[in-house]
Amino acid sequence: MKIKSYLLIILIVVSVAGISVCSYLNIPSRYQEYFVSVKSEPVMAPLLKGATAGVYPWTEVVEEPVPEEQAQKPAEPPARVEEEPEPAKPKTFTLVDDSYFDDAVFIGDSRMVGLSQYCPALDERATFFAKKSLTIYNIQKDAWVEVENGPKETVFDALSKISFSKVYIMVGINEIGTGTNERYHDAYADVINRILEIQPNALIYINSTMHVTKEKSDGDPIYNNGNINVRNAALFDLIDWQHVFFLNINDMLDDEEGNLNASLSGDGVHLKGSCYEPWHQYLLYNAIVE
Amino acid sequence: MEYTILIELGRNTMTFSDLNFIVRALPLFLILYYIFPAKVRPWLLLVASLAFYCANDWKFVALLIGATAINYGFAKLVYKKKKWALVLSIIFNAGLLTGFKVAGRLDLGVAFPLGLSFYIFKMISYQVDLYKELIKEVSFRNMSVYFTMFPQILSGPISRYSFVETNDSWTALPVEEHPSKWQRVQDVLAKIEDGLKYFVIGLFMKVMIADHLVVLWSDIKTIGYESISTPLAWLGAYAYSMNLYFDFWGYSLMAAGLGVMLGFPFIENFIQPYAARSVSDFYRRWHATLGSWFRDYIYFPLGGSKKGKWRTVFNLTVVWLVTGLWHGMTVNFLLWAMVLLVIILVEKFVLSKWEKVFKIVGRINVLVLIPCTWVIFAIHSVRRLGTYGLRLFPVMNNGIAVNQNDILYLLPSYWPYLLMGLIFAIPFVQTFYRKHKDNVFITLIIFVMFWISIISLANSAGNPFMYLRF
Repeated sequence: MKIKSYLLIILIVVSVAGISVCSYLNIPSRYQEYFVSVKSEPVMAPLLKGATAGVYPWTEVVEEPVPEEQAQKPAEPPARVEEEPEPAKPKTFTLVDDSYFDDAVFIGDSRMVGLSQYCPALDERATFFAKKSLTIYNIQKDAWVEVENGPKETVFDALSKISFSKVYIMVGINEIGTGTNERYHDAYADVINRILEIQPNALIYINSTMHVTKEKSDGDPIYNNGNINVRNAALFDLIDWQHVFFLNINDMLDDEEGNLNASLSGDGVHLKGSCYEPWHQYLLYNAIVE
Repeated sequence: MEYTILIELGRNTMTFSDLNFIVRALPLFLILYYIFPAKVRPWLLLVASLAFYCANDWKFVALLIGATAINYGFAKLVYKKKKWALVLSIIFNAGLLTGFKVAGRLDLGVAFPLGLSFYIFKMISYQVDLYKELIKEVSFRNMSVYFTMFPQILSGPISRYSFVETNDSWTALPVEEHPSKWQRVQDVLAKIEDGLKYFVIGLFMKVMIADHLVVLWSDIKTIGYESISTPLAWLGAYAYSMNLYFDFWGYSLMAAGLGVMLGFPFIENFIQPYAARSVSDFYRRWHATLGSWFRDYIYFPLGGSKKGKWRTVFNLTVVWLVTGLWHGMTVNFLLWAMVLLVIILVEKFVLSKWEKVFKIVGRINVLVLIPCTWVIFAIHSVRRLGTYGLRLFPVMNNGIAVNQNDILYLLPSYWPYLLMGLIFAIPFVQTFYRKHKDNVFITLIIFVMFWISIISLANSAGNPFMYLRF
């Protein structure tokens, strides 16, 4: 009998053994954050997860920066507050029409994608930089904005090429199971500061992370409204009522118990295509006119 | 719904597409299985099967053991040609299945035991075949392995008893034919290699095609059926059809591959159904072991098609009513079964009179009507089904906030999986594989498919909805 009669067994056994050993040796260094436990998954799993995220066994291990320094820098409140000699009068919301969004940019995750696809009044006027699975950390670090005939670029590069005066942001659901509230807050503050560096007079509207339905919230240890509320509250100190505002869109979309109204959602997380209008209306009624 | 039980199970249990099963439990069991002598292997398989059942649904393992013991008692009597025992055994088994199905429908708070629909059908088949003397002896060992074997307990295939009798690794060869130790090792390795190839192909179909296309179907649910364009409604119908096909065909191939690794013959559950010439032909090829069960234990005993036209209509109606209820006790499953019954009756009594027309219309039925019937299968609420139906066939406008470009937003993410599904659905691909399965190049392709599936599994932890980010 020739070796080719059991070639697949040989290939699989050798490769699984090799990858397992390699993964085991690298768990303390490269794959620590991908490691769950030997009991719950095979030893090779951390390497496979790490490699998918671009961390290969030959990738150099980068020393973690000193956490204190990093935590403090972006945590500073938006710089312009310090520049004001005395506190300015808080700006108040007013009703506008759709032309208000002609120079608006919307940045966000799949829920923002949904707004662009199912709210033509906004899609026809505003610019959308939205992507499924987007997090505040992606906005902060990654080049993810699609550009015609060119490589993807960061949202800051994309913003510096267009004219805008209002920025609406909604993220928060994808990163809810990762990082701390402080890290989330700091990343958000960093993103706001960098947008204001590009356009110092821009109005930035933080849209609250939208709730999930009661059924989803009750059955999910991570994506539930308790966690969402904590993350929303973590952003309150970024509001300065001059340039940075908070839009609690959940006011418009919740049921009486504070969960996303189940009749508005097909999957418990996203609005149905026909249910984006309340959000749109909320934006119209809660705008700042200089 | 039987076909999607594996998706639900995948979250925190051990199915075939679980990394712990593939790289830990399975190799360990195979080593033990082949280290021990031939006569011990069935017992090892029995113990492993019960352990596997416990890992997935320990609450109902006592029911499986109890039903096996009671069927053994019945078998002793049925073997002595006691017809009342046969009737009682059928009433007991069918009653057990119906009881749990009805309890589930009435929301009595009783969970549905894992694999019950499948092992009960095996038990009925066993008793009937024993009475008909197709089974020559009552062997507790073989019978209990037949009912409980882990490659088939979750979701079939519904093999016949002869399947366990033909296991060639359970019988030690006579001394004069005794091959050398090395020869025996080679035989075992060849068996495992053969089964492993089926297993990997099945794994790839499940993990890389079905588990990705189910997310497309979920995206459509997210948008809301009232807001999808007609092209997206059709894409959804085909995506769901492919998801179901590759989820279940993939699972069946994994189950068959495991069987081959253990010395059983290959069991074919999907025989290129989308190459069928008619809907009747489709259901001879789709989940073939279930179709042949209904044929042999319901349709033929009722008289099949040999007792006149109206009796045939009645018999087919009974078969499809039971098929619908077996799949689920909601209105949509009955509707699904009745629509199929009507198509099959029209094919059998009307279209068959015009051979040339039938050749074309039969294919259209398979390639266009079958995906529509899967939509009925998928959507449990009749009202929502009506909404989806009107998006498929927009005879009146029921759309709300429809984005006519929606299909263009979804296609870029899913076209690779749809394309892979189309390729695997071509009969030539299977024929080509069978002809060249020992070719080194084909083996290397399967090896790559193995690693693609494993990497995907490592990142999704066996839960297809892990791909569903917000």
